[in-house]
Amino acid sequence: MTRRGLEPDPSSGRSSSEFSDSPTGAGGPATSGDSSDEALVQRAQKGDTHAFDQLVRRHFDRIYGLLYHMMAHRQDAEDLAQTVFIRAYRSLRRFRNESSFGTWLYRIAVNAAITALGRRGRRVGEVSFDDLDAEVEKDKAYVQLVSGHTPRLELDRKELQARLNEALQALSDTHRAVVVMHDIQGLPHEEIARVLGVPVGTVRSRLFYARKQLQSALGEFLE
Amino acid sequence: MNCEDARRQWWESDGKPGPEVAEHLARCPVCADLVHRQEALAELIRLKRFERPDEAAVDRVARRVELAIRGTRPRPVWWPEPETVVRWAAVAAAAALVGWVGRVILVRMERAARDEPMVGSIRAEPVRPSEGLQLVGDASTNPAQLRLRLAPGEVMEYGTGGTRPVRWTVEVEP
Repeated sequence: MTRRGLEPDPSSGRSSSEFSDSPTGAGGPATSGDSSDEALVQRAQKGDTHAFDQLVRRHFDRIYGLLYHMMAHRQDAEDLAQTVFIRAYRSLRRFRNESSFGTWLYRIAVNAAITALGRRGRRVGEVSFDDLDAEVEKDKAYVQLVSGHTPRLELDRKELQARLNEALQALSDTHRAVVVMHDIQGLPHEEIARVLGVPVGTVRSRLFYARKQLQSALGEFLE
Repeated sequence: MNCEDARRQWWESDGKPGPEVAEHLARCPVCADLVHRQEALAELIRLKRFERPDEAAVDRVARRVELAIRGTRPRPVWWPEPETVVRWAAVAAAAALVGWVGRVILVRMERAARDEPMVGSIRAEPVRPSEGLQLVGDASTNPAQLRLRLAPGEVMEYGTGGTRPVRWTVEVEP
């Protein structure tokens, strides 16, 4: 099976997942024609749905990933991703290139997720996760976790997934959004601040608080 | 550099500390341990990246999006967002409700003032012809004014707050 993760390159460092204003778009894989986000947006603004389709495919992984980790429910994430893209298309003429298209789309997605979570409330037990890819077993952190460092945990992938999800879901929506964007999707503090429209100091303090909570929830894995 | 500055700068560096911080971490085991724990936690959380949707998810969503936007164009810039429409509609509905309730209250107050049994419930009876009239109220009149005595030529305004007063003037035949 071809690997197609939520992030462009899970094995690489965080810097690769920053939004880019480069001609190849927001870090996603190049599509046929290799148009920049800017050019595709201009075409889509005139009603070219094919150009918008390319934007959807280019940014799907990031948007789905964000929504998935926020919603903790794969079907909800998929439905919401659809809503986000439709909303983005309809509002496309408002997009003025003041930020990258990726940042703008992300902002729509974060707002949509927080609104949807507010409507949904905390439905205990209604979680539905994608499978943890087998490639996780090649990840350095995972290998360390299940080998020499914590043999007593007899940790398997499912258990690890369950524990991580439990800890993340215990965070408030705004704190989880920061953790998802920073720790899972690799956005730098400044980019997250732009997405959320808050000062960078707020992002850092939210991250700090969230990490403290996660540390106490996942402490046994960190010994 | 002291520990407090080193930790703050490390945190603000977003995982890319400068040489001064790196130097501090190299010689301070307490700070190094704190940083190590933070990095270990971040790596642990980062494992969530390996949860992946099935391969067909992008096609499903792209197809549904395409179906939804086919034949449409992005809205004009002045076109309000659906949330804005909903918000303004809610504000307008609330304002209309407040207005309607206010109008109902005003109408009822006016009607009450109009309908108040100010005359019908009061009868006048002579006390002594030279002294004027004594007004005798019943249960529907203001208890504070149940019994009033008016001298000849005296003017009384009957009515309580908000109601329309009725002017009584006592004229006594000589």
